[in-house]
Amino acid sequence: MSLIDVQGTELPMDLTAERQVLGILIKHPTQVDRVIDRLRPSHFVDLAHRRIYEIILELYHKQGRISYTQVYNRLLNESIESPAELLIALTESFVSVTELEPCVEILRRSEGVRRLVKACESIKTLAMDPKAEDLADIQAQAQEIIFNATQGDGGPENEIKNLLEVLSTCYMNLLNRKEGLEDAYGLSVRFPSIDGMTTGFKKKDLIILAARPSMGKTALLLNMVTNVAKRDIPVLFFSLEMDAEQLGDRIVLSELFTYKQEGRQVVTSHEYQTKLSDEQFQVTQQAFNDLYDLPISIVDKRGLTVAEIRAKARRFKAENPNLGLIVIDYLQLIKPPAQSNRSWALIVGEIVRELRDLAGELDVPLILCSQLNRGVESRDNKRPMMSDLRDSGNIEEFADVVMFLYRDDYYNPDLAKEKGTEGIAEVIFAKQRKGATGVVYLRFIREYTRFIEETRRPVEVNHGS
Amino acid sequence: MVLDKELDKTKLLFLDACRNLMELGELSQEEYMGICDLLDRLDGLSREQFEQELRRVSRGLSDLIS
Repeated sequence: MSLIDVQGTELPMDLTAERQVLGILIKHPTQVDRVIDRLRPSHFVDLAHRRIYEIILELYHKQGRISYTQVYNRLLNESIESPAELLIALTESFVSVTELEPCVEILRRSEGVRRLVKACESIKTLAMDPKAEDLADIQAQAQEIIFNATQGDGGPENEIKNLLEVLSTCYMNLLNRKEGLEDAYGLSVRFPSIDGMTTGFKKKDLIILAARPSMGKTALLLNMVTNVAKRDIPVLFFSLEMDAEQLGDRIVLSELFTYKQEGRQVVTSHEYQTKLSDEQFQVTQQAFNDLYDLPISIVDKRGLTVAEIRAKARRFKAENPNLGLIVIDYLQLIKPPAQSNRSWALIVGEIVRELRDLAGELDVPLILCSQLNRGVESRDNKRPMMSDLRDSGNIEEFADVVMFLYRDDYYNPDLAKEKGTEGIAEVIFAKQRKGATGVVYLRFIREYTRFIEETRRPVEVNHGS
Repeated sequence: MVLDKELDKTKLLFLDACRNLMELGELSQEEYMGICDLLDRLDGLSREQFEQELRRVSRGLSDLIS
């Protein structure tokens, strides 16, 4: 191993290993298959070596056959001096084909270190740029640079899975389900009707929860988040509308409703926000104590861009590898990229696509809240439909699950009172890539911003969808 | 292994020489390409087959070698 001096920085390289790899590949062309998905031209520091590797890849892709004469002629055509001497040096560089693997690892390691060093240089330049003012922007970009430098190291060994591997995983999941193990399904949000419809939110899935304002989107999100966190599963909550303290109060209130159901001292929402008796204070304090340890992390900065959300989520995932759920409240408050001349629908579509990719990259379900357009209000039946999302980019196209939250008593309070359906909320599953569509019913306890199961109404499932 | 390496070296030097001959006008491009093809297939040929093939590809070079 030696060092190459690039603009005053010494970077690791190994020309001998480069020669050995090339010599082996030219002499034993079948070995190209073993390295093609792990070595890129940038793994070679010597420019002639890099070009030879590019030629090897081109020949391999075009005709699957590599020979000295072909490489020699290509080098001659590119005016590389003394190609015969260069190729003779390659043929004499290795003793056995068994040297290939160790040499490939040397090249991969050297290139990884070089990328890290270059990333550090880029971050230094970025941080010292007098035109860059916003520290949060700099931090987000720095994270992006580091992330890119540590990803895609040319080793996607797991991209191709054979059926045996796939079915082994399926079989393990089947056994776990049979045993009733927690992780066998997707992520349970502890609403039996919702869990029944989804069999749990799946990793890598983008779940849209959409509704008109005041339907209780944030409340339902917080209820689900608390239920998940109570099983010690970390949750990351991006709140672009409400600040963290408002969310905290809602979580406490929701918990106080549970206490009420358990027959403990009643603390109303009004009392919580005004003055409590000593007894009520004790109960409330207990609720705080029960909630302190929940692994819920909240980002309540407004005007976040997708890049900033991605950077924060990546960092959180790096610190909390068992991150179980990401929630974003809500889509329309995500700041579009600067200087974008595209239509709003295209911008939103791009944001949604990037968030779906983020869910995939971090291997967690991501719930994205969304407003619905005003078209709903002009209809007699105000139950949301897929078309209500369509003005906002290709949301439904990228989403794995689309849920609408609807409360009829919001629009028809008198009718609801008459029919006894006050507080009934419909969770309409308009799309499920891996399951049925249909409707489940919850009851919204407005005072406590709490949803509970509505047991009097059956779940309506459309299996044909 | 040493012999194998020597053969590789010889092939490359031979190729280099043929290239020079082509640049000097002693070999046509067609002959040169035929020699390249022959060298790529060298491992599967006996000495007699090689000489026969070389004679077919380039009579001049064949005469020069023999």
